[in-house]
Amino acid sequence: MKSSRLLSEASMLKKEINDVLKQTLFFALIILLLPAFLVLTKIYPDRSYLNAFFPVFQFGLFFWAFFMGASLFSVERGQNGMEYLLSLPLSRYKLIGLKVLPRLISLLIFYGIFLIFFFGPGSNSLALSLICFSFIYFSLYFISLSFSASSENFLVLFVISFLFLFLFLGLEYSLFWLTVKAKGYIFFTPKITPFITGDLEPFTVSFLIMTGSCLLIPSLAAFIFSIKRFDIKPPRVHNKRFVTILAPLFIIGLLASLFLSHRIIYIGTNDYYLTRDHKLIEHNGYFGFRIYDGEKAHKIRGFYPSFLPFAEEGPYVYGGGYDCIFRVNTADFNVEELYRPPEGKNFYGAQKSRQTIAFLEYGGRRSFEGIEKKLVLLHIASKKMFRISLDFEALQNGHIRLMGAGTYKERDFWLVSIMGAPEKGGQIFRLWQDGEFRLVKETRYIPLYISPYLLTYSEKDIIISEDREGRFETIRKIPNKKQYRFIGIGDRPWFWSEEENDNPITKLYSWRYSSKEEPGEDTICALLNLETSEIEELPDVKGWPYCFSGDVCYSEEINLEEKTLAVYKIRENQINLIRKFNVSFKETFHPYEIFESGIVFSQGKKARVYAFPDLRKIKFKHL
Amino acid sequence: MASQSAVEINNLSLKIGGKTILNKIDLEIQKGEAVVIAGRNGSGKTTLLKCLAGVLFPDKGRIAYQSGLSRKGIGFISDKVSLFEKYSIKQGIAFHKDVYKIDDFDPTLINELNLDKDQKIKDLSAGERILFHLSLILSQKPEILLVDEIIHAADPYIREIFLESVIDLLEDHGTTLVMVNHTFSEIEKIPERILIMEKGRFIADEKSETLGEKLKKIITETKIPEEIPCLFKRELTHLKEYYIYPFQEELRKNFPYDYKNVRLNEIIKAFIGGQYAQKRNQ
Repeated sequence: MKSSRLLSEASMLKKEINDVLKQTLFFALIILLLPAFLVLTKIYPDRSYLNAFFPVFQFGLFFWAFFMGASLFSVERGQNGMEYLLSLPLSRYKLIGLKVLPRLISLLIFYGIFLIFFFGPGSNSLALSLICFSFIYFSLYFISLSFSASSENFLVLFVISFLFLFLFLGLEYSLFWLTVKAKGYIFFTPKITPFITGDLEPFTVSFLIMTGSCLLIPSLAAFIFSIKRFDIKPPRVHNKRFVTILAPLFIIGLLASLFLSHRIIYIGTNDYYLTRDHKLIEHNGYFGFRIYDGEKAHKIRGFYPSFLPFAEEGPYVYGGGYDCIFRVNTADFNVEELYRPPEGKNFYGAQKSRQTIAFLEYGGRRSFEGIEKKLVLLHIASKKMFRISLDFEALQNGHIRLMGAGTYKERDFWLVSIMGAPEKGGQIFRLWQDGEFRLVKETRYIPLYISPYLLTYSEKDIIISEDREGRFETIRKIPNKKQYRFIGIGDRPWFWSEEENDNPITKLYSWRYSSKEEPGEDTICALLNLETSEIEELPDVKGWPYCFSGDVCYSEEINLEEKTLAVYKIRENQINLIRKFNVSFKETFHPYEIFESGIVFSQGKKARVYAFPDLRKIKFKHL
Repeated sequence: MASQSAVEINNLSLKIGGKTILNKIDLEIQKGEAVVIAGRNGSGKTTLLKCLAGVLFPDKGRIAYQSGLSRKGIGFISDKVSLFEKYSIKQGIAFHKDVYKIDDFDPTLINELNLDKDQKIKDLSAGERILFHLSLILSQKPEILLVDEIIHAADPYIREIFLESVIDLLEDHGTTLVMVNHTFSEIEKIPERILIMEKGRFIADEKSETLGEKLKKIITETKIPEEIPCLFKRELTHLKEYYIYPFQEELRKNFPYDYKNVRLNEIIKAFIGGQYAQKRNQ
């Protein structure tokens, strides 16, 4: 009994395979001849056959996908065989299954051939990206399959299927747009071009697959449920049944899509900044700013695609994006734009000293051999800007950094370093406010200014100079056999302004690369006593030190195997573990950031905040 | 379902586009019974047959077949003589054999017409297709044979072969036959039971012999009383023909007309004509 049933099914399957094979040969012939025709008739000028073949193949496959779905009954309809077919001793589901199977296999085989071309000779000639093509290819198949019983007219099926495809793609776009806006990414406008070129974020691909499935499965399910009673009645009878089943399923699918898209869509990473008074600033290039202060979350208006904080004073946090400098007021939750570069200009390296923000502006007319550069001094209160040209020959080759500021005899000055290739080192210049420009020192490695001291390097020594009478005089040379490097203070690693702090710096932390004879850590921390010039190594300090004042430093120790982060407090040469955290390094190697007042862990859309000195967790209600 | 029933239909209804095609049909067909369904065009005969074949699904009601009967035991020849026309005769036979698990295919009917087995089915004439399809069905040895109105399309020779083959099947295998037909001149020997359909319902369900007793004809120049149940009236040049159904012997006493016997073919015509007359009078 069972074997006779299998034989019936095998016969039907054999028939379907034969039908599909005939159709496949016909299709293959067209798809091979058409590019040749286009090239020979010069409709595709200056193209080789292969060049013409791949786009034709790609678009031809769309029609193939449609045909494989829509042609379920076309053979029988075309030869007066429907009643014979439906009277065969096979259930409707079995019948449909035996018809779908060879067509699905054919679809997959051609997809495989496409992949061979995609990863092989045709990768530069394809008209649509892999994701775009695959999405449309399989969607079109399922759409046309769902409608295969809806009409006996192939042209009508063609129109319905492609119309539904466009509606489906439009719905996908609308869903994406709606979710993006609903999630607050008001500055993000979804574009179609990345879909065509394949330049998509991973979450967009997940979105397409998940929501596409939610929207297509209802029509497939409706087809499967309605096909159970498929017979020779006019297609409108089947269609009525199909639509009756489809409508509620589609609504469910749409709701599921909305839910999933809300979960999946996450545009860009959030940047965080923890203020000294433990307010958390969250920035995303597409939804702007939010400030969390415990119980509340405040949304700040305005489009600022980037936020690179460089100073904090009172309620203000100063940040430089890629397009402007602004400050966020964490008391009244406003953002104030301070500077926007003129047309054709760019800027970088913003620093704050007292009531002045200094940064480098470049672009525009070329001078000497490089690009025109200026030091811009922006007075915060008045917004007045003073530009000092940096078109000195000495500053043309290398990367300019602002590394210090000060006043001598009521004359303001700025220290500018320019570093060349690593083996060449660099130079430090002093630029006075009246435009006087003098070479101060040369240095082998990146220098450090701790007012009034300037630390530079020679091949062998650490050179400490003191600013005396407007000149930096060498006061000490410390042998640097082990090649220590000095790090800066807080979030301004390049310089320190004594006038802004009460306690003079007497100790500096440094690091050096370990040698082959020192197994274990890659870097070793050391403490330099500026008064005695003694360097004391701190072998127990693992990882990288972070210093926010002269007295206290923190260091981080990452253990990738155990997936932990240990934070230590370093005071002079005393090291104490404050807390150990479990951290996932899956998405990024640095899922946290250490600020003066605490640590912010961020992974995806979530953030956790812990406050110094004991790293207790701070709860933000709406975070 | 009674153990002797081949098919039992309960409350079968079907509508297409708001129009009732089958209207709460109840029917029981015994095993081995030969049933002919007649009626006006559009009365629902073919639709009923297609429901029995599984080609159409009714909206309501149920169809139950004799126990142990699988779909393989049902042979169906549709009014369109539906087959896979692009197949050759050889391919058609092979396919049908495989699907219905037929061990031996009897080529008698094909040989009768001297058909080339490599010939495409679409190239066969109407009669040849009918006979070819029948040969497939006969090889199936169906327990229920469903035949729609097809024999009118065949020439007299093929018609005779067809009907003889059907009769042999009924006699040799006890196959239950349900056949849709209008003309009874050639098939009078076959049906044991006659069903007349009108507007999706049976208006008559009689054994062949009984039907002949229940339907009589009066030919007269005058109008007959309304008390006589007249199914259908036909006006000739100066005479009128009245078909009386259901006839009872009491009518002879009360209304002493000459009640003539009517042949089966004429019976069917009377029923159909009566329905047309009814429609005109509405």
